[in-house]
Amino acid sequence: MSVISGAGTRSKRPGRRRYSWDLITHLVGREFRLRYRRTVLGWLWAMSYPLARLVVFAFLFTRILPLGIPNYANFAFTGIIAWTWFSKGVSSATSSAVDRRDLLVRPSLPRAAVPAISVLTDGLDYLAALPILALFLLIGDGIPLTAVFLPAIMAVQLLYTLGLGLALCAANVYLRDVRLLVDVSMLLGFYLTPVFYDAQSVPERYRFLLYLNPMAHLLEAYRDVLVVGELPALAPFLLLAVVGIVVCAIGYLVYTLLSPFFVDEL
Amino acid sequence: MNEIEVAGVSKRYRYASSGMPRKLKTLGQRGERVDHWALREVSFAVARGETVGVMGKNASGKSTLLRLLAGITRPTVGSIRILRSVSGLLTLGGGMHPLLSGEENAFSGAILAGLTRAEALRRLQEIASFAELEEHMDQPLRTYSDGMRLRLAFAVAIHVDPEILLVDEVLAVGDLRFQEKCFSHLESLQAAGVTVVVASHDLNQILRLSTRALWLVDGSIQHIGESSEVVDHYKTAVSDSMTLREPLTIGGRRHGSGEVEILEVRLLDSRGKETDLIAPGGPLTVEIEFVAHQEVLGAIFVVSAHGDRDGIRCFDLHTGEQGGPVGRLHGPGIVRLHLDRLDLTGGRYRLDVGIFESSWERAYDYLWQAFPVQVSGQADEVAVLRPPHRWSMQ
Repeated sequence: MSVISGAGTRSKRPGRRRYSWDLITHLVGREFRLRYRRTVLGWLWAMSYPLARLVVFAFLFTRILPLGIPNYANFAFTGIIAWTWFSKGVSSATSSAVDRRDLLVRPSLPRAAVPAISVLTDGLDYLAALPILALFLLIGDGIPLTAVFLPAIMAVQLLYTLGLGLALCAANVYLRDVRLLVDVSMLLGFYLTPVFYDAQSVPERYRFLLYLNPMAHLLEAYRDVLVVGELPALAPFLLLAVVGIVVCAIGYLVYTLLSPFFVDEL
Repeated sequence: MNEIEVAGVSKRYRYASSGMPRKLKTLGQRGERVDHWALREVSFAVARGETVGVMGKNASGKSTLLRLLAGITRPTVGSIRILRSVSGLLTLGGGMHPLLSGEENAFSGAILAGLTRAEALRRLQEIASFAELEEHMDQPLRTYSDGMRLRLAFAVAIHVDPEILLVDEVLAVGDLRFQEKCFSHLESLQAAGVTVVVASHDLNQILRLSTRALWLVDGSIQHIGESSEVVDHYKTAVSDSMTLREPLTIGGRRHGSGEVEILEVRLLDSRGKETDLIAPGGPLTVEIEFVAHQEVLGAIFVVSAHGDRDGIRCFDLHTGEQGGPVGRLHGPGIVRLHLDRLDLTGGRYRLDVGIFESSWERAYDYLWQAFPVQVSGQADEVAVLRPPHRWSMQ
């Protein structure tokens, strides 16, 4: 039996929520700045990866194997940046506890902050790429009004990324194969998610499989509000959000159950 | 009122298989479990504002106990009740980043230790001045010396308004003057009602800081009570069985098994006055005051010097080669090395002083680069040696 009474030895000073907010925003900002520290281009590098992919896809799928998707650059770029956040976020969160033992041994730090910081830092990379998307949209038909709905979709994506990241992070502490498995899964997931192609072009027999993937729904929602200029259907989107909350809650539960013993395994 | 209550706490670490297959090829085999009990049935209480010392040799469970108190991990059996928030010195310097400036690291460190942004910002000035790094705060940490880093880390750790402070063997920071400053700061925290648990194998630290102490042997409490009383028990046990002797270490510049201990090293000039400045070609006497905690036959005393600038070893003298005056050692004693002429060029040098077992198998006590000595004169010479000389022409 092991009991740590009250809120354990974690700090019980007033304003814990204020503290958690300060801590997480500070560390996310610090990680982001460190990522591009001492580079000449700084955070502009955040755009380089999605842009490189876009150039390849735009050439491949409009010149060599035309997919016949209108506004292909906007279509593909919307998908690429959202997928990049998801895949990088999940995989960096997965290895976060193992990589950041120095944070886990801090008495006052809420443990769940460790994977959350990874996911949010990658979220900043997503935000850094948005100006490029805005530029593309302005060159085309302009930015649709429905773009104001973007934060809601990002919030739902955050739920999924965080939920998966928390659970996989806990698993990775006990079984280091998890990190490698996640990397391979993300490679596969990139092709099994309509990032650079349209879900509608998938044969109808298989399409339901595609839609088991929440990222497929999220990408469609992103494209609806950013490229097409429509709001996603409300009921399916709410369902997506509710499932997201459940995924995040389960991830958080797994993480909080296992994390008090992490340091023994690191 | 008890601030910390530890009741029947045991902590098990499990190595190799923890019920889960570690490798695919061992799948199906029943994994062999290696249990290690780092703590066994430990119970004690600490009152608010009290300081309790935790002593014991390495791997006796001191660090595990502090980790449990910090809430970093949980006991396998038993319970721990803690009333206020814990701040630890457990992770001195951890989480610092070499590319960030001293100020950014201090700010980060203060937030990681439990302050909000606003609180951390308010304490920055105080941290910088305590660490004596005001002029260096905007420089990146990678340009800092080890001593500067530790000073900064220590300054951060004690400026975060701790309610309960856990100190784990980290008081050997910087030079003696800075250590003294750290001690007096800890004493002012004690006076302000902070509850302190300090783990150390330095008995003097325990005696100075704590009113009560507990002594851990293999994870169990061997003795608990008034610190002077526990220290006496510890000392008696140590002289009974030398295996209990703690290896000597000071900030990575000292090691040894400790049967013979160097108490003090003095550098004396021709008049027998203590000095650290030698005229070129002048004499130098190195006086080593030591105590042999048990009878030792034929120890070897070593004194060597390195150039501070390039690390070149200038001389390496020991009592082993000519037999030397050293015979049986027991109890306190003094050994002196007389250098009739120190023909070194001007500049700074560091002396290593050590006492080794007669077969050179191990060091009883060895302090390297611990004693600075300056030879006056121009410091820009490329050579180390300046033999007595004169020029002539025919």
